[in-house]
Amino acid sequence: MNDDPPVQNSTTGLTASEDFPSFMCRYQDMVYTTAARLLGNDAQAEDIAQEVFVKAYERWDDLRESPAAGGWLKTVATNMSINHLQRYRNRWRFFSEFARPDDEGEEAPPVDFAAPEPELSELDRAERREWLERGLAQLPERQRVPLVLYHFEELSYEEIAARLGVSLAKVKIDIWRGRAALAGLLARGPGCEQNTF
Amino acid sequence: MTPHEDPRLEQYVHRALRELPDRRAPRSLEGRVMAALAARQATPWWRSSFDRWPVAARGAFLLLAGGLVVALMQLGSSAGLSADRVTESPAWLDGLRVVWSSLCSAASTVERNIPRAWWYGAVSAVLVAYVGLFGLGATAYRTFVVKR
Repeated sequence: MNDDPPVQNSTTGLTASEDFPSFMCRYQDMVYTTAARLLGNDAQAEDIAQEVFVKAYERWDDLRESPAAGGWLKTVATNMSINHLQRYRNRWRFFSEFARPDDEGEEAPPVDFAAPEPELSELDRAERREWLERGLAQLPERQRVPLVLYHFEELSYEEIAARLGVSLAKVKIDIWRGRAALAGLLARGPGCEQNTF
Repeated sequence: MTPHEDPRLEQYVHRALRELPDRRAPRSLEGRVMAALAARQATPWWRSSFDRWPVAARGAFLLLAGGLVVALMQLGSSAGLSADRVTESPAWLDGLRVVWSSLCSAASTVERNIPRAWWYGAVSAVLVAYVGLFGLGATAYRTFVVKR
C-alpha cells in the first residue's frame, strides 16, 4: 500500500507518488534500449517504453519495493515489443512473406571473421559501438529479433522458437545469418559506410 | 558441427554485443509517460475499460445486467406476446418494402436490357483491376518497405 503523500508534478499536473519519476529515471534507458533493439525503430521503441511505464504505474504498489522490478520491466518491454512486431507482421504477412521460403535445411557457408580483435582494438570504441548498434538495427527483423533474444535476453534457441512461433531450424539459421552480418560489419569497421545485409 | 553452430562466431558476436551500453532514452519519454498517466487519471472510471472499474461497480453492473435479463424474460412470458403482435409491422416498414421492391424491379429491367457479354466483360475488368492493384501494392511494399 502506498502511504506516501502524493506530490504535484509541475509540468503535467499529475498527482503521483514522488518515487515514480526517480524509478523511471533509473530504468528508462534499459526499457528503451530493450524495445529499440528488438524493434529497430526509435519512435516505436519510445511508444513501447511509454506503455511499459504506464503498466508499471498500475502495479506501482508491488513494484516500488520489489528487487525484481528491473526484471519485470525488461520482461514486459520484451513481450510488448514482440507482440507489436507480431501484430505488424500478421497485418503484412501476405505482402512481405508469401513467397519467402522458410529457409529450413539450407546449407550455411562458413563465415570468415579471422583475427578481428587487433584491428578492432585500434578503433575508437564509442564509434565502434555506435556502428554496431546501427548495424544491429539495420538487420532484417527475422534476424534481429532472435539475435537480440539470444544474446541480450539470454533465451535458448528452443525458447526463441516457441516465443516467435517458428521452427528451431529457422531460428538457428536466422541467428547465424545475423551473426555473420554483424561479424562482417565489425571486420569492415566504421570507416566503411556501405553495408551488405 | 554445422556452420550454424560455430562457437567462435557466437562468442565473437556475443562479446561485441554485450559490450554495447544501454542507449539513452529520449528526453521526451518521461514527459510522455506523465502526460499519459495524467490523462488516465483525469478520465472518470465509468469511461475507462471495464477491467479498470472499481470492484464494487463491476459487481453492481453484473448484478444489474443479470437482473435486467431475468426481468425481461419474465416480462416476455407473462405479457403473453402473441404471434400476431410480434409479426405486426409498422407503417414505415411497409414504406421501406415498397422502395425496395421498386429498386429490385428497376435493377431487373436494366439487367434484362444489357447483353450478357457486357456483364462478363465488366466482371472480368473489375477482377483484373483488383488483382493488378493488389499485385502492384504487394510489389511496392516488398520493394520499398520490407528490408532484405
